[in-house]
Amino acid sequence: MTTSILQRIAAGDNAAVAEFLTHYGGVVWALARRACPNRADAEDAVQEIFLQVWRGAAQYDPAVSSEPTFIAMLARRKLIDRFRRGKNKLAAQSLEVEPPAPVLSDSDPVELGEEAARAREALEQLRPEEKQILILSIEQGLTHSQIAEKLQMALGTVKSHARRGLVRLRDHLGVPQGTYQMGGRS
Amino acid sequence: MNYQPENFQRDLPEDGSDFSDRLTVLLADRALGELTAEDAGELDALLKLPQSDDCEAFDRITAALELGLLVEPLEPLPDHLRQKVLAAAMREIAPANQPRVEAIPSQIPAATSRKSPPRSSGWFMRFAPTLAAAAILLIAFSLSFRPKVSPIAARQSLLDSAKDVVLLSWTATEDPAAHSASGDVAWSNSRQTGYMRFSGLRQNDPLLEQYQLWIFDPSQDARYPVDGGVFNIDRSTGEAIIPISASLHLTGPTLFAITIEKPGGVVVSDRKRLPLLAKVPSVSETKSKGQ
Repeated sequence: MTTSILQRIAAGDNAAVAEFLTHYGGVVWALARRACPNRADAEDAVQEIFLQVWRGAAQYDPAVSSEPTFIAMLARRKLIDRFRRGKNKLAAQSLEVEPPAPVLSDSDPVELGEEAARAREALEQLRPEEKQILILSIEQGLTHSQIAEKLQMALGTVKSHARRGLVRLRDHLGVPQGTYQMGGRS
Repeated sequence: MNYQPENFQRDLPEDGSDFSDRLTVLLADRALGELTAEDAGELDALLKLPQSDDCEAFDRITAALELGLLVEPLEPLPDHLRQKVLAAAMREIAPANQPRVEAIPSQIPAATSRKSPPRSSGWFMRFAPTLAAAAILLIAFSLSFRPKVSPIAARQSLLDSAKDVVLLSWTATEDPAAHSASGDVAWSNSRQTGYMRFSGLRQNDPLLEQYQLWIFDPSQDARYPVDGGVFNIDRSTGEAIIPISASLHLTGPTLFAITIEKPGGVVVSDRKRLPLLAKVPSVSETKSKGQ
């Protein structure tokens, strides 16, 4: 069995850190840029996220999830924490206008993993309102209250659609209750 | 909030088709960043119950979905940020071939009580034995490759052999962390190497805050001094020697400053907490002292 980069980091292999940043640096940067109102804030967030990743590397279990999903999970938690602490505002609330991020044409495509593709496919199976609310929440970073206002919908209805949508996603992805396993553990 | 079975049904959808209990509602809300402080307390309590073995399912689903919604190609991590992250990682991961902070007690230190890390969920308890085992393995691994030259010896060697080494005493400010602090900083410009020595600097909780060194250098705008590394003071007694980890080449430092920052350090410090300073005397100051 091939040892994952995170497992090598957990074992103290410093050389794996540079490899990790090459593979996933762009992913974490993209998630932070999406959630933070400006580049400076995103840079702070990225450093916090990676600190969390180094500290949590030993918890990674390839039988439970893919590396990209695990990293995105840690990143989301840290970004949500920052938002809660009031150190950050959602990108959608920002008034700061920045030029579009440069994209290197010769950069290697990032492997986001099969789980991401499956989750994207499963999203298409949801009811339109569930799909719309989850996209507004996860992709655009809107709070449920903001979504309710935007869609002229009762807050409770938004919450119900979001929760139902997640449960349906779980079902579509074949994750039985109590034994969640996106990574294929049987 | 007291946990009562009827609360499970409180926020369930009318059809009740998929939500089986309150835990599902709270876990879904957490995954979407919608958990209130009150709900978080309730979730913590529920996660301690035996049925809470599915606590990360929605977190993973939302993470995978967010990845699936990213538009490629992605902008790579900016180079300067990559270097910062890399440097922080080298300090954090207990590298096998590089010394970290070493504390030398001047006497046997009194037992100190460290704050336990905040426990956010029952998840930690489930993985505690695994984490403890991993920590033991990491420590054993680290010890087996312990460097032959300790920071004490390396500092002394620098002082003995580098002709251009400057040795500056720390000046404590009114910051409470520096109440009983003293020590010095040794720096050799030709070797781009240096060591900080501290005695009595207050122990920090790395989960809450860390010390960070800033080096003012003529090559940099004074508003943006060079990051000299993030570090911890592990013991409230004894002496700590910490290697300087300058992120850029220095041409001739003029001031060393210690700030207290959030865990992991910052890119630009607001300098609100600045417990220690060590100023390099100017040529004129040196001459006047010699007279």
